[in-house]
Amino acid sequence: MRAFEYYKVTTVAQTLSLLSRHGEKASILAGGSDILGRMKDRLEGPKLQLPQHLLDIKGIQGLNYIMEQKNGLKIGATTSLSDIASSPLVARKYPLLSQAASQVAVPQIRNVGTLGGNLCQRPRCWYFRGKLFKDCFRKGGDNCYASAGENQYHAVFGGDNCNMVCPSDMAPALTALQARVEIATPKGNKLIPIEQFYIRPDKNLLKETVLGSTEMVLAVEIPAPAPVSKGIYLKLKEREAFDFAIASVAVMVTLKNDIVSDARIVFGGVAPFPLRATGAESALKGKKVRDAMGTACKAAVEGARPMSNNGYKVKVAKGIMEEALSSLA
Amino acid sequence: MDEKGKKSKERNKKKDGDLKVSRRAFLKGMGASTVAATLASIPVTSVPEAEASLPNGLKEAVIQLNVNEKLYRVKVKSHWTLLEVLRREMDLTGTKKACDRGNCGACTVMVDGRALYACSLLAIGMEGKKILTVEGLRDGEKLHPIQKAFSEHGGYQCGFCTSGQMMSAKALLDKNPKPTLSDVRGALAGNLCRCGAYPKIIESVLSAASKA
Amino acid sequence: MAKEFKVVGKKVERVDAFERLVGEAKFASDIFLPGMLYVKFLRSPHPHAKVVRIDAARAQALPGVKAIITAADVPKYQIHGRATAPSVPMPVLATTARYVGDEILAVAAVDEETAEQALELITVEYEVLPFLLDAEEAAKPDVVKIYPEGNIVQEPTDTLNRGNAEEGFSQADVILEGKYKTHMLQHATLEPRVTVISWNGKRLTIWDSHKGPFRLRTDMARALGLRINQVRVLTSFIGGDFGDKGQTERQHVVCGFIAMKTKRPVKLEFTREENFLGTHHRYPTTWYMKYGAKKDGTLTTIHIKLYADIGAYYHQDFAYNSLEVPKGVYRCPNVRLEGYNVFTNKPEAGQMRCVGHPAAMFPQEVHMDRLAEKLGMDPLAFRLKNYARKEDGDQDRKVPFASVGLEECARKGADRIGWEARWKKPGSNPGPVKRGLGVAFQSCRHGLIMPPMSAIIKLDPDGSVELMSGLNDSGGWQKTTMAMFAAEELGVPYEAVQVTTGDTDATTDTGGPGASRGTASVGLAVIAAARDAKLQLLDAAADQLKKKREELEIRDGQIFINGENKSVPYREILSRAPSPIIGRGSGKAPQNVAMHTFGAHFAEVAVDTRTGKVEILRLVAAHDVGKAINRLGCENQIEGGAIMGIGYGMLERQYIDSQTGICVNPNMIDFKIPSILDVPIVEPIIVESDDPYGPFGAKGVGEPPYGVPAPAIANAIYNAVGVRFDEIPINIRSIIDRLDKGRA
Repeated sequence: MRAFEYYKVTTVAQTLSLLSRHGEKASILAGGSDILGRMKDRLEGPKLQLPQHLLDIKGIQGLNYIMEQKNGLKIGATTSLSDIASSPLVARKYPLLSQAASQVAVPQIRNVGTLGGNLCQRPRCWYFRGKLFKDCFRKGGDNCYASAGENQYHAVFGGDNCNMVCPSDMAPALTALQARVEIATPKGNKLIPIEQFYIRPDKNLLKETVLGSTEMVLAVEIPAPAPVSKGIYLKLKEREAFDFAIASVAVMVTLKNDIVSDARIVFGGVAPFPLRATGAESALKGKKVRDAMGTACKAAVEGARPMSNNGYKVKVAKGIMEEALSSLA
Repeated sequence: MDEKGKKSKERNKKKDGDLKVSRRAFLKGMGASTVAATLASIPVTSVPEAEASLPNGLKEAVIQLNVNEKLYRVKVKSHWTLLEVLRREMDLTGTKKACDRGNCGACTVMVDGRALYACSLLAIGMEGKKILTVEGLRDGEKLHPIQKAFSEHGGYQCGFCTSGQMMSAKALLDKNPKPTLSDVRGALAGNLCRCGAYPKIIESVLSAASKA
Repeated sequence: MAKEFKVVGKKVERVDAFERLVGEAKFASDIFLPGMLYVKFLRSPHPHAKVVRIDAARAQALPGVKAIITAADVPKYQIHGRATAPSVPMPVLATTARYVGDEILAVAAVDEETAEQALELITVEYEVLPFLLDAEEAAKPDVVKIYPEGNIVQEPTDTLNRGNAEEGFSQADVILEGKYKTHMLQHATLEPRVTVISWNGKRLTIWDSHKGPFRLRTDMARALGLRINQVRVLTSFIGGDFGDKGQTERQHVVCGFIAMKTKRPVKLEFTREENFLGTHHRYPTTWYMKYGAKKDGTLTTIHIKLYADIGAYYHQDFAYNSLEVPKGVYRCPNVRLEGYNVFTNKPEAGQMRCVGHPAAMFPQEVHMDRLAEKLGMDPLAFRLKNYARKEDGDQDRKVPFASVGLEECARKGADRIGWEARWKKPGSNPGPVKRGLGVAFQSCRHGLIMPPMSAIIKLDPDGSVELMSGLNDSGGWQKTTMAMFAAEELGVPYEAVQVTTGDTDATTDTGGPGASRGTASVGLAVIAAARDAKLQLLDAAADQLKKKREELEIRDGQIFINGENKSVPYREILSRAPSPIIGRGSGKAPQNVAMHTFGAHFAEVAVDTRTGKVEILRLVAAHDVGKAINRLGCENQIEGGAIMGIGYGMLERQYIDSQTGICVNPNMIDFKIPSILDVPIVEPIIVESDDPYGPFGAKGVGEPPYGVPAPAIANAIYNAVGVRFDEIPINIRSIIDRLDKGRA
């Protein structure tokens, strides 16, 4: 790694101060599983810098918690994924989230990986992460090598110039749970729906989230699900350890006498952001899961735009949705 | 208040943007922490004043590491990982470097009772933590029960992943003394073995559990 | 040969268990020497380019940089290439880059960060040339020449005409054609390539993760202008080899050169990324197969055209190596083979576990399965009808096999998985998850006896034994197995034997653990050394007991006097012997016989047709090992080889971007080796055919299990969902694509 300055910050205010001072030259260090690897790879591009200052936020008191609130759950940004996965509270009331957290990577990574880090991690596209592909769009260049290249793991929805996929497991699960992200800014805190947290490539090619360079994630708030709700998170992987999703799906359905009154279906691994399958959600509303399953799964993958090597992703996205709905039927 | 502190306080009043710590103190690291300690005693009520209590950016530091219940004092650069410090600076080479990216498990150690990848931890952030490496498993000439089990059941071939496997096994058995086959697989998911010794690794861990 | 063994065949703990398990075993990567310099290569970012100019001024000026070495500086020494024309040499450093990753220059600095920084400060000007990534393309006329002599190397041994293929096809009732492909992958040893070299003005000491220390010693002496006895190679512990670490490479010559030039110890440790580029690779293959059989199931003809994509540099005749499989597994009177070694601008081909055989086993075992179906035969019965028996042997050298245990492997494996009762027609169970069974056979010459073979045994005055063996333990428990041979032959307890390996000063050349030859080849030398020691012991005993040598007998660690009811333990004779007893052994390869190992795998899979996900429910791996000397070691090789083979069939491939020639997945997250969650608990079945030539009947088993799971699983997937695979790895994408095609 190239040398950098290490700051052991103890408050959010310190963090924002240092972010203001150093701008793009500073980066937050939480678990480190993503950023340290990129720094060892010396990953740079025309508009991508290696951080010269790392702000270690693990020592900030009050960011590591799982707290039940009157109307839901709040989880601090530096809470580890293994704490979320093993929390009896989360397992009992938000099993979808438990499932998502426990399927991230491997135990050693879940032990240091944080909720904030999982949401903010950078894409796994091997052209983005390949040092020799300096001029990819996301690094500030003007090319997407995946379009005519090895795109078997790339997006089948929502690609625009850039075709990477959102690698997070927590993001689709939290989107299905209608979570909101609490962000600290120099002007005060703000709370935004997680669907607005992620940016589409047609709006901005250089960042995946709306986080400004002087802002940081503080927590995620999750509203309590309606009384009769069922949910599941399924992740399809090539390898059962370490792997990011080929396709994943988070499903939350609210039922009244077995009829779906509300549905939230969110895919991971198929688009540059967590993808709400609104067509599938509409298809389920007012019906029994078992009866509307077929229509919903078909609707879920309508409008897919596969690339040269990843047509299979459309099929498997439909396939895991079938699996997910079967288990909830 | 000493001279250093006075100077810094003056700078603070200037409000010309950023607090500048003296260059000498900044480079030395040790001196800077003295400055920071003085400044921290100033009450902080708003962001600009919070600047006054900013920690200093360290390029290197002398730190104290607690490894295998021994205290080590070692000078580290901020970009050195715990893995390279253990191996290169402390002659604890039992923890191996195989991918250096947190993608394989050969560098698994235990930190405060949890299995972590030493290659993905900065040494400078490891003060105050209890670190356990493979060298800390045995008791003198007596092998730890996990080591004994691996020996009896042949849970290793080239041996390069073995330290990491045993650390993950210990992390598992410390929390779950009677694991199922599925528990064992799940706990060792982050420890790749290229030689494919998985069947006998599983046998070794289940054996260690059954004898405890 | 139902002999009762005292040590052989038992489960023992390894001789070096303690140091391995407590973290004291020093691998080459664990060596840190005072004043050590760190060496890093600068690698070409282009797949094909001439180096025009190197500007290293800024790097030279960087504090801590002690040497920058280019092609102009290093000895003129051929790392790889051919002895005869076309020589296609691989020089110590490249002046024409032939793949992305090709080594252009080396930097030595006081620490790794400075070396990395120095690389960033060096500017290399390249003349970029057109490049080729596909072997069939590269084999065409009028394409870019990767070497002046052209892109194809075809040796005489790459063609075979046994019998008459045309006649054979005219006799066939059923003819089946197929095209198959395998792809590039790498050993991904957990310990990457690493070399540490120190020069003290007189001798060069090399610490390396390497299984061929004597070869390395000889080559380094030649490359650097030293006598062989000026070079010492230390290779005690090796973090995985699988074929990548047996030869003398650029890293060795460059580090030796820098060590002698700077008079400081140097270390070169590959990063994981480099370990996917500047190393050896399992080569991609393209097969055109045409087989003919009579309606009773007898094979009449095999006709094959093979392209072996050997990448940027020439190591050996890989086409020949792969063609050994269609030549040898099944009995066939008419065989026509054409093989081509073709250069492409990709990382070079080298030996990897079972070399060229797995690439041939996948297509052949799938093709045989398809042929069985066309004939309406059970695929197991079809294979049992046609496999080459003992008397068939090597059908071209016309010598018999020494021992054959394939039928027993097949029957025991079939029993274990329940083949008779459970093998049904494809896709016969309802629901989205389909189950199926598949089989594949293995028969090849890995596990043979091959020189050099040597060993030295010293007997200590207290009766304990020191074995000096040049055979490295690369993870196959070789050190332990040799101790067991010595103990068994000498009649002493296993614990009484101490083994020294990994030091060329203290051992003799007995070749490396490659070709699965260690157990059989070195075992013979160890037994010979033990017998030599026993003869000297008898002589000493005759002297001391005032008897004639013929009146004495050695048995079970004691010396018996014929006719008298007493015996004398070794230590009594040894403690009074005037000079130490040193047993010396060597061996020879048997003549006029072919040594093959055999295996049969049975796989049971569950395929989720919704997602293309395959779960391998069971893998039964039966292998004829001659005689299992070291039971735990033997099982480990079968299980480990099979697991690595699951990776070969289902997960592993290095992808090369066609626009740039760059490998996009040179890391352990995108190059996917199996985790503990991806594999079943393999069920090994050890079959012992008691080879007449092998030590105590042993052959070998390190490599044979590797190539069998891929076709067994492919055949099981066919049995489950009715889709055939002509390409590996078989992953979610290939299953879904083929299921879709089948449905369309």
